[in-house]
Amino acid sequence: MNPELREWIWFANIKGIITRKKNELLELFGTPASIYEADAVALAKTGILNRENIDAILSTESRKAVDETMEKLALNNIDVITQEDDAYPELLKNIADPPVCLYVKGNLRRDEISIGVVGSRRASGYGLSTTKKISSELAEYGICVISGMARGIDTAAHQGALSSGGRTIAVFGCGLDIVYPPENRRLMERIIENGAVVSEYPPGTIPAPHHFPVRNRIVSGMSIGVLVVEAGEKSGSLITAQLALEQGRDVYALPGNVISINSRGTNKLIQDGAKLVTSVHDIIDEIRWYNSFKKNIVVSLDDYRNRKKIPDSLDAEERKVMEILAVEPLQIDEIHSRLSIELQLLHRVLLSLEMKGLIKREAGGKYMILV
Amino acid sequence: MLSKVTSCGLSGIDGYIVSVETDISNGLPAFDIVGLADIAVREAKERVRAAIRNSGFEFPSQRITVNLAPADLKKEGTAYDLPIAAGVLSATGIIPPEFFNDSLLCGELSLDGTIRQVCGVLPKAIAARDNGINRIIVPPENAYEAAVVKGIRVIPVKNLAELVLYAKAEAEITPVEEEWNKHAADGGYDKEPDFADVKGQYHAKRALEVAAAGGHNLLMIGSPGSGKTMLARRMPSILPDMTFEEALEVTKIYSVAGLLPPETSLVRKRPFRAPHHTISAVGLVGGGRIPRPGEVSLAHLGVLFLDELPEFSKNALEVLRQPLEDGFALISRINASITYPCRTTLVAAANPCRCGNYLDETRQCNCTRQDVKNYLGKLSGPLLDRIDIQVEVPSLKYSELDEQEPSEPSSVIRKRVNSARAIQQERLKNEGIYCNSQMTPPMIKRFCRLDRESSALLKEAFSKLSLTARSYNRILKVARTIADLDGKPEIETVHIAEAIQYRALDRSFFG
Repeated sequence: MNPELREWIWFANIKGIITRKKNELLELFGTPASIYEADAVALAKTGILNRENIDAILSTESRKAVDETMEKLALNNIDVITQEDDAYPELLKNIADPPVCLYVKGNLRRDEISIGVVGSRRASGYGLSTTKKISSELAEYGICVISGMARGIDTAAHQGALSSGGRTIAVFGCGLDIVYPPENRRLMERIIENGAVVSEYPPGTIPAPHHFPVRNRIVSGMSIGVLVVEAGEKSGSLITAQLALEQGRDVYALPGNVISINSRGTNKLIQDGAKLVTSVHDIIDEIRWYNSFKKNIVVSLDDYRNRKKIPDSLDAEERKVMEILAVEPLQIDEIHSRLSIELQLLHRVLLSLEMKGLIKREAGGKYMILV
Repeated sequence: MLSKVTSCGLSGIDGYIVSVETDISNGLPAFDIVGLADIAVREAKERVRAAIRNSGFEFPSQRITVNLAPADLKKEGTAYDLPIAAGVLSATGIIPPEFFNDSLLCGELSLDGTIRQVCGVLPKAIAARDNGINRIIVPPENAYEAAVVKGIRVIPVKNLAELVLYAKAEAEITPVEEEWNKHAADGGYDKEPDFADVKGQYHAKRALEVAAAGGHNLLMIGSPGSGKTMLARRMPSILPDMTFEEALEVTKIYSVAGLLPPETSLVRKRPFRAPHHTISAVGLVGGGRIPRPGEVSLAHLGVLFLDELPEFSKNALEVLRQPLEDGFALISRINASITYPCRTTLVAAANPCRCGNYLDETRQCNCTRQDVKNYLGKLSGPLLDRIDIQVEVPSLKYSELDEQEPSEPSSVIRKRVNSARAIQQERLKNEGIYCNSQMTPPMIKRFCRLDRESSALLKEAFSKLSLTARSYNRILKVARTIADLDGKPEIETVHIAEAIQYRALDRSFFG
C-alpha cells in the first residue's frame, strides 16, 4: 500500500481546484505529501493558484475529512489507485487531465485493450439489441467494454459483455457506495465480479449533472476507441465523442434510420468522419495495428467469421424470411405482405427461427436477425 | 272492500311476484302505500289519483291502504302505478275481482290515464309464466318484449279506460304475438363499420378474428394513431350470431336496465360497450343505491371495449377481475344480494407508454425506462392473467395506407367466425358454456389434447422463449379456437405456433 495514500486522497478530494491545476501542482511538488506540508507562500509562488485555491489547500476541514473518507473506503471495500501506482491505466495516464486518484471496486488491468460504448439513455430496440450484440462480440475477442452504467445503451453494453463472459468496466459519476440508477444494483455486482467499477469521486458523492461530462472523459480516456450507438443531436454521447477525439482516440458510430431521432447524432458523427460500424469486425479491423504488438486479442478474425452464419438446414420459407430480415428488422405484417406467405405458415416459420436462436422478437413485434 | 292484484318486482335480472293488496275503508280520506316502497312507488298515489279521475272514474274519498307483499323486499320504480290503480278500481267495484285471478299487471301511469313504458318486462313475463299466470297486461311499447315468452297471453293496454272496458269484457284486445326475431333490436350487421376499411394490420385483424370466434379477451398495444380503436370498433361486425337463449339473456339485462328500445322484442345483436376511461368502479360492474347492471353486464355475451386501459382508475380495474373470471357480478346489500351475468369478451387497447411514442421510431418518447415499465405495469398480474390474446399494433407506413388492394370485408370473416362458433357450441353443448374461452382446466385437458409433435413444440417454446406458466392454458385455449377456425378436429403445430405469437406481453415485452 502506498505510504502516502492519506495525502493522495486528501489532495484528490480538495474541492474548487480543477484537475488540470492539480496535475500541474503534482508536477511541481512531486508528491501530494509535499503539497500537504507547503505553506501559503510556497503555494502562491507556483503562480498556478488563486486566493481561494490556496485557502482550500490550507483549510483544516479538508484535512479532517480525509479520515472520514478513508473509513468509508474501508467500509465499502473500495480500493484507491493513484497516478503513481502501477495499476493506474496506461492510456488514462496520457490524457490531458488524468484523475489524481481512481476509486475502484473490482479488478483493473493496467494495459487492457478496451473500447468505450456510449449512447442514449432512451434508446430504441434497435440500439439496445445491436449494442448487446456488438458488446458481447467485443468481449469474445477479449476486449474490455467500458461504459457508464447509465440507463439504456450503457446498461446494454455491460450486459452484452457479461453475456459472453467477457470483462467490462463501468465508470461512475458518483461515489462507488451509491448505485445509480438504482435498478442496476444486480448489474453492478456482476460488473465488479467480471471487471471493475471506477470513479473519480470519493464515496458519498451523489450523482450530479455536471459530473457526467467529466466522467465521460475517463470512459474515452481508458479506451482505445469509442463506439457511439445512438445519440440525439445534442447529447452527452456526442460530448464523449468530442472528448475522445481530443484525446486522440478513434470514434466509431453505428448508423441508424435517418428518420429516427436517436440516430441523428450518430449519423452526424459519420458525416463528420467517424468510422461507420456495421459489425464488430469494423472495430477489430481498425484496432489490428494494436493487435500486432499487443498479443492479447485471442480469437482470430477468420475463426470468428466462420462460427456464425445462416445454417444450411433451413427450409425454403425459413431461408426467405432470414434473407428479408437481413435487410432490416420487420413486423409480421410487413413480412407477410412482402413475401406473400400465409400468416399461419409465417407464425410457424418465425417461431421455429426464433427457437433456433436465429432471430429475436423485440418490443413492438419486430423481428431482428441475430447472426 | 279489499282487492288483490298481481304484479311483479325485479331482483337482479329476475322477476318475483308481488301482490298488490288494496283496502278501502271508512274514515278520514287518506292514501297510504306500505311494503318498503321507495320514493317513485310512494309518488304513485298522486299519479294514480289523477289518472283515475282523468279517465272518468271517481276516486273514493275514503281511507285507502295499499300493501305490496312480500312486505320485506324493497320495491322500486314506477311499474306499480297500474296495479295500484287497478286495485283501487277493483276495491270500489268498477273492475270485477275475478279479472285479476289470472293476470299480471305492470305499467306506469300518466296523469291522463295513459299507460307508459317500464323496465324489465321480459323477466316479469318469464316470472308470470313460471308462476302459472297466463295473461300479462303491459304497456304497448313493451308488448313485443313480453311476447317473446311463449305460453302466456300478452295484452297491450293503451290507457286506464281501455283496461276497465277490457276487464269488464266490454272490449276485446288482441294478444300480441311475436315471432322471436320479427321486431328484434337489430340494426343489422351491414350498418357496422367494416373491416374492409382497415388497410394492412393483418396480424391484428387475425387476432380479432380469433378473439371473436373463441370469445377470448384481447389486448392491443400500439402507438397513438396506429388504429387500435378503429380495429376494435369493427369488432361487432364479425361477432357470431346469437342463439335464442343468448339473446334472451342479453335482452333481460337490457330490459332491466331500461335500455331496450320501445316496441322491440329481443336484442339480437351482440352488445358492444365502450365506456370512457373516467368510468367509476360501480359504473363498470354495477351497483348503486338502486342496483343497476354495469357496463360489464351490459356487454354480456358481447364485447366490452376499454380504450386506453391503463388510464382507467386502479380501483375500476381491480374490481373488474372477479366478474371477468366468474362470469357474473355480485352486488351485496344488507337485505339482499343481486347477481348480474357478465360473460363478456374484453377487448382492451393500450399505448405502450404514457406519451405513446415508445415503439415509434420517428417520434421522441419522453418517458424513462422506469416510466414505461410502470405504465403497463399497472395492468400486470391478475388482470393480465385473464387476457388470452395480446398483440402489438404497429403504426402503418404511408405506402401501406396507399395500398389499393381491398381488404377482406367483415362478412367473409364473420362467416368463418360463425362456423368456428358452431363447432364450439356442438362440442361444449353438455358443459353449459358457449365458447372456448369459458373452458375450465378440466375441460381444457379433455378438449385440447395435443399430439406428440405439437406438445414437443409447446414444451420447447416454453423453455426457449421464457413464457410464463400462466400462459400455458391460455395458449391451449387459443390454439383450440384457431384449430376450430381451420375446421380441424385436432390441434396441430401451426395452431400452437400462432397461439404463441399472441402472447406479446408474456414474452418479456419490455425486457
